[in-house]
Amino acid sequence: MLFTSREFFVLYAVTFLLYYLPPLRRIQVGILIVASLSFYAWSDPALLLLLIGSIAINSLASYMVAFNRERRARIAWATAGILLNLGILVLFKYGALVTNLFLQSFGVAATPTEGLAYLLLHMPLPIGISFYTFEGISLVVDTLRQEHDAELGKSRHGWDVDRNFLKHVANTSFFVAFFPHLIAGPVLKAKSFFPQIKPKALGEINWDLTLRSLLIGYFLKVFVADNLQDYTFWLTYPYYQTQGTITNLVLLYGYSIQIFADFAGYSLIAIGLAAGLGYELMQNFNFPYISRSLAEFWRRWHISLSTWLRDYLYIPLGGNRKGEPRTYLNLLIVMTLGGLWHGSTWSYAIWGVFHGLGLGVERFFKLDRVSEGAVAGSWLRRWLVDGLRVVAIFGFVTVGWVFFKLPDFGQALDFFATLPANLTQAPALLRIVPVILYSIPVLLYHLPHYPTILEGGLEPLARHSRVFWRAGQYAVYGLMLTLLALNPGSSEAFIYFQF
Amino acid sequence: MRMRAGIQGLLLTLASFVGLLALYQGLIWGGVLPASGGMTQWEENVIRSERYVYDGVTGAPVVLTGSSLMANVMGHSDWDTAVDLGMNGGTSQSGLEILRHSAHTPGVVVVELNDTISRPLDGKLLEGIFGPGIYQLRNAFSMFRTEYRPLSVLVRILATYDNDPNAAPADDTRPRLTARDQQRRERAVARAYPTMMQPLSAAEETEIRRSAVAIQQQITDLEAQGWRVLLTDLPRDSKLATTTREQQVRALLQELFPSDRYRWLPEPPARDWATRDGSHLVRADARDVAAFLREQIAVTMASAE
Repeated sequence: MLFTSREFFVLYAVTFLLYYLPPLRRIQVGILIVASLSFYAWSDPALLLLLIGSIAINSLASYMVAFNRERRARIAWATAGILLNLGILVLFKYGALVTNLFLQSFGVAATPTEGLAYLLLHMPLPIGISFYTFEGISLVVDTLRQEHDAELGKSRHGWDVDRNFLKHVANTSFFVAFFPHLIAGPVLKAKSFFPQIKPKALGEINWDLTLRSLLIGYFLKVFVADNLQDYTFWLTYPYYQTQGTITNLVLLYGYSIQIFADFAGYSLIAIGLAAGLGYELMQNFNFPYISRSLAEFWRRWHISLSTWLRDYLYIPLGGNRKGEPRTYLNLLIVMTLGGLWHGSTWSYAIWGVFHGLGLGVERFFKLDRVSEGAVAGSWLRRWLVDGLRVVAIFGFVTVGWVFFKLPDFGQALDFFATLPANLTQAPALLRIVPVILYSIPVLLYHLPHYPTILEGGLEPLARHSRVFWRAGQYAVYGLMLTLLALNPGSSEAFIYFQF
Repeated sequence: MRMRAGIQGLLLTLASFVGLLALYQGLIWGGVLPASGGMTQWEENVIRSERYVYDGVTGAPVVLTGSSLMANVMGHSDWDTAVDLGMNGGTSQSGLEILRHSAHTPGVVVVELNDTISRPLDGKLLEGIFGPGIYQLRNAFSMFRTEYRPLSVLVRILATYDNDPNAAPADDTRPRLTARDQQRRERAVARAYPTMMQPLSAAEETEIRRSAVAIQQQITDLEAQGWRVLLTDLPRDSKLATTTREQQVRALLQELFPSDRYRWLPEPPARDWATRDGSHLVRADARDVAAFLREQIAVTMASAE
């Protein structure tokens, strides 16, 4: 069920009305669980069993970790929970990749038509699996860490596993399946979500956050991303082979804008939907395309995933505490696995290695420190230097997106080979001009956060003419609604649904 | 307090929204904003369909339905009075379905029949035109039609900025096939030839038969509404005309639409029909086919009367 579909609007409206009815206040969480399971089951009811199974595993594992007195038993339960979550993810997401590798290693040429190998090669990819398995792992690990810290006399982290097992199952079900974030994140952490679980009243809604997030989210998704996809379609094989270099580069730039608008739009919609129900989800994007270093980019892009990887992979591997060579290795491992998380083809792994190497080189030359503090000198000099950095990082990231657009590694290489070969071909203006026009909102969205402007501050401007500033804001919102109504793109699934 | 501020903001935003919509519609009604022809193949399909459905045609029209092959032929012709419902990436079924749902005066409909009929009906296009509420909204307010999408209109304005609307059209002295066109043609034909020499698979033939049944029903319904239905195929590249697949599809369609029940237009004369990609005729040949169709439709309808 897409956030842009009629069925979803009906589901949310009905859920919202029931949720805030005073007589039903005590079962608010139950209402959301039912709505969330209905939302998930809409596309494939059979895969609901897998989600329920994942909830059961994580409920039991985290409960046993929380209420087992023996440290070794707690670790055993946590290990079991983590391995089961990873097992589900590996089976459904990487089963085909591993099976193909196995078959190739043993020189099996024919594609199996029955048996275990056939089953593994044709496993369905349950929607949202990459997200809810990671959340399950974070629940189990956070519970374990909390219990260990409590044992050492440290204060608890502000949340507790409920002693009533059924209540804990309900809370875990809600945490994992809450429909705004179920399919494509943000990847939630138990310690930030569990304390929020309590009855909510209509008067508590943060209307400004709710409406603003929904409007900007739908605008980025429906107006920017859905329209751009009609043009970035021409980046697929074999169409790019007959297009000029300039056309291909502009379309690649357009894809960079599209993937941001699609994913950031989705995240904002999720934040707005959750806020309307009284729950705060973490910010997932922080204007990533004005990053002045790759390290900064990864602090601004898909924040929930990058912090998950930091907290549950990078730091346990040693982080930057085991010397420089080990730090570079850890970066490479984390980014490669992060790439593979996105998909089970080698292109995604290569994308991860690409970013891992980039982070390593940046760290080696201390270029990751450039984000700290303003550049010295005149405003113009600062503006230019920041501009060059922003363009360089944007260019690097955009090159990496080729592996997302063309997950077949051979096609990705072929695309790069086509660029110098088609230099003399005339640009296709009918494709280039719309891409530039549709990307303007994303550029304007980032502009106030451009480092030199941000450091100069927009507040003096706002202070001088508060009335006009607010009027201008609502005029812009009105314009966004107008463009949504008059110029929507073709409604398609969000790009990150496939992960 | 939060709720009040939120509702205030919402109302101001809605006021701005309604004001902008009113302004945009006013500019369209006032003739200030030009309609666009579409920036993508999908937009072109929708715009041509919407123009027929919402604007209609005076008198009994000639409507041509089909795929991008038909759209290509009609796009290069100067046959202004005919209605082109050739769907880029689509099939005759979509055009026929549009006619079935519209309440316009029936005329003559030409149905393109070839292997493209196995493509699915474009449900999204039909829902976008005839969906509940959408039809009435777009009929009443043209700003909601695809031809008035703001960015498409903007691109149209930019594209025609320097053009003098009073200037006489330039003489079309372009050659039929440039050397580059010929190279592209050779490459496209070489790429397509191995596939075209393969016979249809059982699944492909089943799909064509299934689609044919649906089209037969559509034709029956349209004839009941008063439409006169003519069938045709369009010439492909002459270098692929005698391939196994091409001949098999033609024979199959003749079997599914026999001439004792359906009226087929005569085929265009055999000659070196050139395409730019193995399927779509080059400009000059497309114009010739359009002229031939026009002439044959007139002759066929005259002899029927």
